[in-house]
Amino acid sequence: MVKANPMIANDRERLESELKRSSSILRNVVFQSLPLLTFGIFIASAIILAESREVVLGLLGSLAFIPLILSIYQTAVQATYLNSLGVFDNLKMMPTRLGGHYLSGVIALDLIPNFAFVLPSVVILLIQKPLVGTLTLLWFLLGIILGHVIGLAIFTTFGLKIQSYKGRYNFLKVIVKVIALIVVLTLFFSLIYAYEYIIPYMGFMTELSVIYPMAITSVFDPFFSIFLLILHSIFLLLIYYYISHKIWERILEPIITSDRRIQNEYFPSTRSKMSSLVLKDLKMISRQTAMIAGFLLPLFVLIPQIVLAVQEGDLSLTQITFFIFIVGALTLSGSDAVLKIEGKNLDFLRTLPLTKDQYIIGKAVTMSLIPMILSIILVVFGIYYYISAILLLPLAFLLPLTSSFFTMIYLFRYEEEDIGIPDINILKMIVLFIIVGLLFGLIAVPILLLNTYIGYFTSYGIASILMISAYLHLKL
Amino acid sequence: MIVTKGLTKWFGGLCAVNDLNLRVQDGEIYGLLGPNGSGKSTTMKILTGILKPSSGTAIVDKVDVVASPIKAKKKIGYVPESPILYESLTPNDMFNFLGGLRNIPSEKLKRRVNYYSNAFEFYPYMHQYIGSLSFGNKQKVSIISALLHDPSILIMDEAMNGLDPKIARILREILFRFKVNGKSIIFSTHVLPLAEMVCDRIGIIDNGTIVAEGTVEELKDKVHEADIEDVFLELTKSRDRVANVLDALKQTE
Repeated sequence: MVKANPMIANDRERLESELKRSSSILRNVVFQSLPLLTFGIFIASAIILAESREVVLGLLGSLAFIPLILSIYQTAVQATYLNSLGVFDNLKMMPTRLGGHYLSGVIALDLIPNFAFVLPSVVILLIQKPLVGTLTLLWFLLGIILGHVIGLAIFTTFGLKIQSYKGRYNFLKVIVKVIALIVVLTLFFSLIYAYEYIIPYMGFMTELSVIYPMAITSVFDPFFSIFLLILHSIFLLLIYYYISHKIWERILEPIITSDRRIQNEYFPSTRSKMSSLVLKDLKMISRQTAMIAGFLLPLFVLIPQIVLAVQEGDLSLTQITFFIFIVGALTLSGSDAVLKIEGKNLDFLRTLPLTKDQYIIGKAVTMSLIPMILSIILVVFGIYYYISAILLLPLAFLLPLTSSFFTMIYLFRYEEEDIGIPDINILKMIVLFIIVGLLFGLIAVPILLLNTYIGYFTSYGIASILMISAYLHLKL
Repeated sequence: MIVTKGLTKWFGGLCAVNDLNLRVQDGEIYGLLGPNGSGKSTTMKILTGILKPSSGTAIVDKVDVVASPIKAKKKIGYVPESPILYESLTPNDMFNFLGGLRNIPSEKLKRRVNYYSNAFEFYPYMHQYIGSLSFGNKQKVSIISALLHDPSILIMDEAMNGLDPKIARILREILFRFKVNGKSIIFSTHVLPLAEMVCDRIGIIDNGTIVAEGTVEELKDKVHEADIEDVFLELTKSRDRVANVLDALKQTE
């Protein structure tokens, strides 16, 4: 993997040091686990302070969902990246059937740190109630594996398909893929919704808590919990067995679909350097569905909150503002995907008259676009309730751009003038969340303190200054 | 014109290019030949700006590649030894992307894409995803991409790989036209008769340094050999090694 990153591979000294660094598996896992462990301790302290069993179960239910989502995201994006680097190409000729186990083995190293997030809570429960703690531990492990299997399924279904010709309805296909992904990613909430609203009326199977992540709430009923664990494990093993075979088949021979066009003519459409770069990235992202998953993270965080607010009928202008801030902050989560789409093509890009600042600003704009669209949808949604929500429109543009520009400043601190793909790990992401959190806090202060038009306009002013300074910093 | 002076590239303790001095005139096709790992591709990567030299200078069309890389890249068209392309784009997308990055006006871009697509019989693949193209067709995309901005310097690393004889013949004609128009071309290949046919001068590189240089006839005279393959083996001191291996192979039979 290290060798496949052209930015590192072309620099022998850096390659050697990166190989040394990455070969220390234990060091890497510990390094990436520490920040997640810190967050996990905060949640574990809430379990210590919980006054009733229901509160503990509520916390476990929410917690169970985090390793699941992180595993889905990491597996889908990492598998696509590895495939785009061509790491399987040499293995295809080997007289052995590696299956999906090889891919799982490589990705597993990225998934281990997710466990650090839930580890403190598990330790607390192990001390308080050893059996409950042990069951919780097993459920969390199952959640990570489940996320990995779903991620592999997304990669196998969408990531290993080669479409020969760009079809007439390509855009519609992308929309359908995005909707399918949203459904998969929001499965948890769909289940809750079904549990609360649909099933009671249908009068059957009212116990949907038998499905992970809600199934973790069975830990206080050990026999039932063990039974559910066994059922989940059997189900997962069967699915994994199927996918791991399928995945290797598809890696060896990707499905080629042909939607042949009669037209062979060349259609020129030249744009500025920046637009060309952004458009190229958007096309590539839209054609690699597993990568789209990386950009839908804000949506996944938002949907339940919006649904909850609408259900409770207390969707306020402040709440919509808060959602736009969340989308803006989560813009940075797309940095990994937007940089990794270059894969082994980085050498090609380096032969073109493209400066480092043009490349970085282009990437920042690309990663801002989807959050911008999401924020605009939120504003439109807000206008439905309050016409004054139109006031939030500038934030829909300013926040994602501010977030992405500062992300790029942080990630591209290296001194080299060449364009490249910096390493992004969990620690860097957490530092970035803190930086962007502080900046957004600064932007939000006038809105929180004044809560008037003047407050909003002052915030726009601060956001504009931050965004422009970041842009100029990147440009210079 | 392409000029390198004392060009050196170290990868840790390994010297891939060692004090390389080259001069390719305007209107000249220069063949860079050498055994595997001799430093050909590294030299080409330095000239195109992918790699930075450890020391020495590389000038293309009067522009220093290290001091003004962007200016230099505008003048260079590069065909790598294996096509590096965006597999999820179509050639149509790829040419438009390059048109934008290289500031080629729409009309010019259309004219050039049509010209080369016609020459390489490439139209049927214009809207096919690059990832699903055959190696030869990917190579055509790579070649057209390198020619689109009408570069004054062409650097071609095994550019004929994967091309069928008809297209290879057409590419040779295109290279001759480039040469006639005063452009400098560095052409690397392992197919020695092809080098003999295409190149005005040949430089033999071994262990990162030029061991012999001249026209094919000059090189033949130098080592008193009539065949270009023998010239290559003699100049890279591989003749004894090849003879030993052949003997060993015969004995194991």
